[in-house]
Amino acid sequence: MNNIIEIKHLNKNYGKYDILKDVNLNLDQGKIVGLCGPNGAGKTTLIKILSGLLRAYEGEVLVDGQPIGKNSKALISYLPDIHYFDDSITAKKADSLYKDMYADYDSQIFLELLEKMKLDYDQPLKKMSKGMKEKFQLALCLSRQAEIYLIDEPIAGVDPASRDLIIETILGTYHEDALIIISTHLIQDIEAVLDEVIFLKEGEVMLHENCDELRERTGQSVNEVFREVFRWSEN
Amino acid sequence: MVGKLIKHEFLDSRKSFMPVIGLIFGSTLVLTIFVKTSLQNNSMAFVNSILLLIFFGMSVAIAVMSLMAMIDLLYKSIYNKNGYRLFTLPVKSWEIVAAKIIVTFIWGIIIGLITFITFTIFLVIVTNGADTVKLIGSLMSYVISELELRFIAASLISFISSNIITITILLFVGSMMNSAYVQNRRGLKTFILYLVITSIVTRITAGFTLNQNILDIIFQETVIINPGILEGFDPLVDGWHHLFTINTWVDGMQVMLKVAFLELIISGLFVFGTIWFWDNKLEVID
Amino acid sequence: MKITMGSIPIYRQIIDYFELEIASGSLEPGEKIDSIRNLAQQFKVNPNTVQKALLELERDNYIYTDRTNGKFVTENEEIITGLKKMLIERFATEFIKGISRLGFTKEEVLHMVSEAWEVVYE
Repeated sequence: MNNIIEIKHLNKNYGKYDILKDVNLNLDQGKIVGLCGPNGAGKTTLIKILSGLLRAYEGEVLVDGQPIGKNSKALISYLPDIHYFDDSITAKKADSLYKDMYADYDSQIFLELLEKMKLDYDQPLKKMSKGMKEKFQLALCLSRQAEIYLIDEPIAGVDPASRDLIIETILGTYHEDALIIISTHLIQDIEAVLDEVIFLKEGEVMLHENCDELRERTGQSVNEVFREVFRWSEN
Repeated sequence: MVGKLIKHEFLDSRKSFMPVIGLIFGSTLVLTIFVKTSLQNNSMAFVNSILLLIFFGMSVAIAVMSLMAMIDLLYKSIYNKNGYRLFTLPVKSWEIVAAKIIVTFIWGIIIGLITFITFTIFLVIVTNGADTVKLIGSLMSYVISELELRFIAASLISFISSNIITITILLFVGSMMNSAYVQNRRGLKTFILYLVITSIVTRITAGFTLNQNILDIIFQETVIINPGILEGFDPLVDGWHHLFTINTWVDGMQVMLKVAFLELIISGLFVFGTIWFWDNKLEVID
Repeated sequence: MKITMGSIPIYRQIIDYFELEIASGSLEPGEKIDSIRNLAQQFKVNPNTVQKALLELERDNYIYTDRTNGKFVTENEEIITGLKKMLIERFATEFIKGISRLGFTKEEVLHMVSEAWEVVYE
């Protein structure tokens, strides 16, 4: 397995605020990686750089050996933590768009997911509840059999029952051998699913380790280590 | 890939442009009713005036909504929330620029055609004549023959280039204001810089065309001296040349082409600038 | 089955689960085992973890992989019996260690177990 994502000396600031400081990461295919840290740690910024939404930064970012561009975007399926679709969009329109633009999109999977999540093919987004909108976006993201999935905070602000559904859906649909990066601050819910974990604190990588090894080394769960590192109370 | 992009950009922009088309139909309808009722008795005079007011109101709305639709297509649909979708599509930046320009022109052509058709229908209804269509047809072919093909071609090129430069200025300014260099009030700054650059460019190009004769429409002396001659005048039989001729100036045409060429070069620079900003400095924030 | 984040690694919890299922006959000899992806979904754990668990179960011959790459419970009665014995020994050892601080003798403990058995199965 080669490193499908290589990040070298990545620095990013917004004006005078340093958001990412000398980030170095190598990530393999076939792994589920948790990108964990409190709000403001730089998780979303890192993900947006990988997905191509932030192009001004210092350092080198390579996806499958290539810089960010048309090719990297074809490999990456990105689920932002915001609602990024026009309110008038329907599943039907999104289906058509993805069919046209993404070679790795599987319409069949999308339709199955819609059914599983009880979403209507013709219903416009504006008529959906917040939870439904999120499931819609998740379904679209996972219907792509991509090489890399970037999933930003999929379970924050979602009720516990839906959290399970989301995790199950991710596990059931993602393209095997893909790299999945899940950014979250709710480690407890997701720890069992992760191969590796990255701790991001104030823009710096505190830790990047295999979860089993981390648990063995510290004798604690990843969640407990996280709380120690970030001195955080239960959420 | 550009083709698919054009298709979806077009479909997405329908929402903004449909009201314009609706208003064109609507306002022409209002105008038609206005003209028809103004030919009747005076008890309708009140409604008549209202209709005129509505027509003017709708015309203004058409201009405003067209402008808004352009802004939607060339700015709003690119940044903020929509940027998350557009800039994660597996397309190159030049493909986005090309698609935007082409879709703008497609809408321009559609609106132009619809305006022409509705206005023709309006004229036909109002003049109660099948002749009207023939008249318009013959007028158009007369004008075209007077103008010569090369002049028409030059005008077309000039029209295209001036539209392209407007589009590319907006795209460029938008790309600059949504880069890492600018953090807030991006919309406002885009607007201001757009005005600044447009006025600079206009100043440059206007310098060439000032005091330059391009085209004259000359009404026949005989008609000007004695308009009564027009009684019983039928252009279909007598020919339009009895009414007016059109004179074109070769110099003027050459200047038009020079300006068009200049505009295209400047547009090209703006396109490169847009692509550079998108590829190197883009910052999509919600 | 609920996965708990504690001192027992996840893959071991999965192994324990399967060992009990096989020993008790809930998973019958020769029965097909679900795909790694489905199991991961079911337990809500990482597929690699599931794979690790299945690998060890296979190493112990409780399950095997056939030509089509499907995984099945062993049909070998001896192995299953051996597994049952192993599990009982394991539970018993844990039990004995667990109550060791209470200071009862072996005879007293056996007697209490016998009585408790009656209660459970009455």
